[in-house]
Amino acid sequence: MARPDRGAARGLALWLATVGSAAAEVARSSDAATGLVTWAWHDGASRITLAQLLPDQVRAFFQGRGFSADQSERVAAGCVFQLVIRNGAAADAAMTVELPVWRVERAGGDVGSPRLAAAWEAEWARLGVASGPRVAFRWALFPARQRFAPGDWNMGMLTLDLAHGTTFDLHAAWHAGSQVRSVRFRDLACAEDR
Amino acid sequence: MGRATCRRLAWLLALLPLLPLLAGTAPAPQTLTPIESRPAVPDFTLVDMDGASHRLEAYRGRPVIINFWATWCPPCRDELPSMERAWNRLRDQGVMLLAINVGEDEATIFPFTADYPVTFPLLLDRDGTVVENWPVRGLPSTFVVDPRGRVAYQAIGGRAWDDPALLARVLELREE
Repeated sequence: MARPDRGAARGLALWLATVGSAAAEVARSSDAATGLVTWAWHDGASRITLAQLLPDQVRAFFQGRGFSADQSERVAAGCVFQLVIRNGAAADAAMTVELPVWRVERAGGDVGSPRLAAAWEAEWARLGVASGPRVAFRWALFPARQRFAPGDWNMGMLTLDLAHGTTFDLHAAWHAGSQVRSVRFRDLACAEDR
Repeated sequence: MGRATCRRLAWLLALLPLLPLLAGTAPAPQTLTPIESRPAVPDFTLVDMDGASHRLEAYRGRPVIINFWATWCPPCRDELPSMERAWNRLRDQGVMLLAINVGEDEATIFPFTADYPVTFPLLLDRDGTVVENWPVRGLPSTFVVDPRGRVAYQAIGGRAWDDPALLARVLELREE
């Protein structure tokens, strides 16, 4: 699991100490055909959704974009979710998301953060991956930082350095206008490799 | 089975489970975010699927809708039919629409257009250099450029582009 750098971790701790948890509940649903699980939080306006992706889906997607089997396996060997964020708030209430401060907590207190595009880009450069696949990868991942005006939304992959089947909590936080809000997704589970 | 067919099946397989997710996040309000500062757009020259060259500067004097997209991006695909309907209403109204594909080639896009036929120009930003000059964080992202070559509106995420209120805002730019 990627570890937040020391400065970011200190800022995160201070920030999260001041954050009020968003009141709405997280709903968990499971697809009858695939068994894949989706967790969704929404407050009647804005929405954050995390959907499990199977390792085979990840392999197929990236091999279809030009990655070799070995290269795509580096992503598929970890934990991948489809993240969707929508700002459905009223006018002038922008929602600003910064994934570097999101916190991944495993049982036993091990804390980390999502693995972001910059870390992957360094790996692809080291491995000499061609430009085409790297462009696709960059745009397939959810961006590290994004501002959503009312009506804006985005979807992209969220990668975590966790083994298949791992359960964990995800503490997601964002700015909504001048407020800082957060939600704790409890007992998320990485998809099994089946 | 041909290689192109295999590739199409691969991404369809990969994205199929996401369809219910997309249905649950279908765009509701058809918003365009005004950009009050109206920054000048970065110029570009790109070729389309027919090999014709398009320079953004050449469309100065009329509103231009610029959409960044990719074939593998579900919300990009979702909004293409409404974008084609919008184009059919705008093309004779002094408005241009350019859809810039990010990172793919003709061999990928051409079979895709059999399922998603559109008549507006599909430009190729194969190495992703043009998109890097625009304030794009995710796909799709769309910008509406005013007749003076400045960004007037942006929309992050898919929209129903044939929404009359949305089109009215684009058409109003002709009067500026």
